[in-house]
Amino acid sequence: MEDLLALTSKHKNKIKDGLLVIMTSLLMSFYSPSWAEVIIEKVTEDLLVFDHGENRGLLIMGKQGIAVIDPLNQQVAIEINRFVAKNYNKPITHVIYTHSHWDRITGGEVFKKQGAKFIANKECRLFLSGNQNPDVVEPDVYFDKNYVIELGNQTIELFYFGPSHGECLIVAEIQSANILFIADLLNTSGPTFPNDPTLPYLRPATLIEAFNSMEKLTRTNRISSFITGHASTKIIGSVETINQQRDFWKLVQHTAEEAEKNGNIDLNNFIAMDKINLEPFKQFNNYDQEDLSNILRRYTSFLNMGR
Amino acid sequence: MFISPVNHAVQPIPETIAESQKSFFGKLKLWEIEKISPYLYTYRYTFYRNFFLIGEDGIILTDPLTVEAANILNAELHKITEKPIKYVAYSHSHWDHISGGKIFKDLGAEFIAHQKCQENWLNNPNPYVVKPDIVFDETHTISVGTPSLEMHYWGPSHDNCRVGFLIKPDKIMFIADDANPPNGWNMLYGAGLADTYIFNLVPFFLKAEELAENEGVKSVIGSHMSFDKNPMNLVSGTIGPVEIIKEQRLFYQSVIEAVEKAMANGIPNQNIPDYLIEQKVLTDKIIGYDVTKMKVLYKRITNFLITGE
Repeated sequence: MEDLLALTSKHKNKIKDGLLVIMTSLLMSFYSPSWAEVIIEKVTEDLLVFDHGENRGLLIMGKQGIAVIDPLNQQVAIEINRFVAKNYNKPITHVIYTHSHWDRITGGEVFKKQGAKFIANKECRLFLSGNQNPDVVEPDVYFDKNYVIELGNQTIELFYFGPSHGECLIVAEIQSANILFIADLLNTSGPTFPNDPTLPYLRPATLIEAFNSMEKLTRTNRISSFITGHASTKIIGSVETINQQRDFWKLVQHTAEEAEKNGNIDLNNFIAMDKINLEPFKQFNNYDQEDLSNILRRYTSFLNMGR
Repeated sequence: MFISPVNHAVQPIPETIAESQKSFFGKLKLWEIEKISPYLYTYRYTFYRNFFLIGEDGIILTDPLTVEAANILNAELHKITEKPIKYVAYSHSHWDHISGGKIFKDLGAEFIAHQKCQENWLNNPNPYVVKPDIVFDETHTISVGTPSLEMHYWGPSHDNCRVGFLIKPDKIMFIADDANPPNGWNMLYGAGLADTYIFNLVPFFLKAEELAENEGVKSVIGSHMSFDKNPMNLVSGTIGPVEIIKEQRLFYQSVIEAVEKAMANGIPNQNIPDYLIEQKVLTDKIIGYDVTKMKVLYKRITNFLITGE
C-alpha cells in the first residue's frame, strides 16, 4: 500500500472525459460550482475517483459489473455514465450512498434506468423515503450493519458503525485495493478542524465509538489507506488519521467537560475561551479560535442534552 | 365532587402556590409552583418548566428536569396532596429535561416515553435518567381520574422523539423547547438547531395545530422562559394563547423560505447569512433578533437545504 500512496499522490493517471464537456463546464463555472469540471483519476486499474467541485466519488470496476459510490449530482452521473460506456464494456450494477446528504447523492436516475441497484444504510430511510428530493433515487436496499457486493474479481464490503456524520454514514472497504472510502469525518491531509464549526450533522454521543470501530476494522483487515469524499490534491490518506481525528474530538469533549466542571460556561452555553488551554488545539489543521468556540458550544449542548 | 375545567374565555391566570426563598435571575426565584386549574399545576426550576396533574386516582408528572429539581418537587407535592405518583411522562430524550426521576421511580411511578427516546438512552446512557417502563409509537394516553394526558408523536423534530402533550380536560398543550409564551416569534436559544430534524419541523407544527383545532385547545404552557427584546429581561411565560404554536411554525417556515429565496436569487451559499442580515430580512418580525445567532441559524438552514438534513 505504500506503493499506492506514492503513485496516487503524484496524480499520474488523470483522465479528462471529452473536450466539449470541459469547455462547457469552464464557461459556466463562474458563479455556479454545480457546473464545475468533472475530473476522473485512476487510483489503481480497477479503482477510479471522480471529482466535481469540492466533492469526490468512487468507481470500482469488476468483471461482472461496476459500482459507483455517491453519484454526487446529475451532471456528474451523466458524465460518469458516458465515460464508463466509452471505456468499459460493463454495466453499472450498483450505486452506493455513503450517507443521506443530497449534495452527494442526487442524479442517480441515469444509473437506475440501466437497472443498477441502489444501496444505503437503513437509518438513511428517514431522510430518503417519501421522495423528499425528487432528484434522489430511493435505495432498493437498506442494510443494517453490513452489506457485501460481489463484482466478480472485486468485493466491496459496507459497514455501519452508528451515527457519526449524520444518522447513516457508512464506510466502504474495497477489498482488492485494501482501501477504505469514508466520505466525511476525515481529511487525507491529516487531523483537522471541521469545515463547519456549528457541526450541524455531528452525532457526539456515538462519534467516538464510530471512530473506534473504524480503527478496529483497519487493524483486523490490515488496511493502511483511505479516500474521502472531499476532492483534494492528496487522494490517499493514512489510516493513522482515524486515531488522530478521534483524538481531536476527545480533546473537544474533555475541554467542554472541564469547562462545565469549572463553571466556565455562560448563559448561552459558550465557554470562556480565555480560561481554556488553546495550545493542544493548535496542532490540528485549520486551527481557528472562533471556530473552536462554536465547536465547544455544540459540545456543551451535547453534555446538557445527551444528544 | 365535580370541578369544572379552565374557562377559556380568557387565558388562565397562574396562581403561585409555592416558591423558593432563593433568587435566581432578575425577579425570578430559583423555583416556583403555579396552579393553573383545579387539576393542573406548573413547576419552574431555573429556566425549565414542567407541569403535573392531580386527579382522583393520583398524580401524573412530566419531565423531572434534574435530581435537585425532582427532590424539591417531591417535597412540595407532599404538601399539596397525599395521592400517589402514578406516572412520569417524558416529553423527549434530552437529559436537561428528564434527569432526576429516580425519587419518583422509588415511589412506584411508571415512566413513559416514545420508543425512539429509549433507543437514544441505550446509545448514550445516563445514570440520572430513569428508563421508561412503557414506550409507544404514535399516541399514548394516561389518566388519573378526571385529568388525563395524551402524548402525540408527529415524527422527528427537536430530537427524534419529542411528543406533543395534550392536557385534558383543560385542553392545554405543551411542546417542550418550542412554542414558549408569550410569543412564538421569540429568538431561538440554540440557533445551531443541534439535534433538530429540520425537514419535519413545519409538518410537526402543522399536526400540532391540527390537533389544537380539533380539540378546541386555547392555551399552551411553555417549557422555557423567553428573553423578550432585551436579553436580560427574562419573561416567565408560564401560559399563553395556543396561536403561539402557529407562530413557532411560521418562525421556522419564514427562515427556511428566506434562505430558499436567496438561493433562488443566485446568492452564493456561503454569502447567504450575511446577505439576509444585510437585507434586514425578518429583523422586525423576530423578537430579540440577534445578529450573531441569526448568522448561525441562516448557515444551518442553508446547509439543510443543500443536504436535506
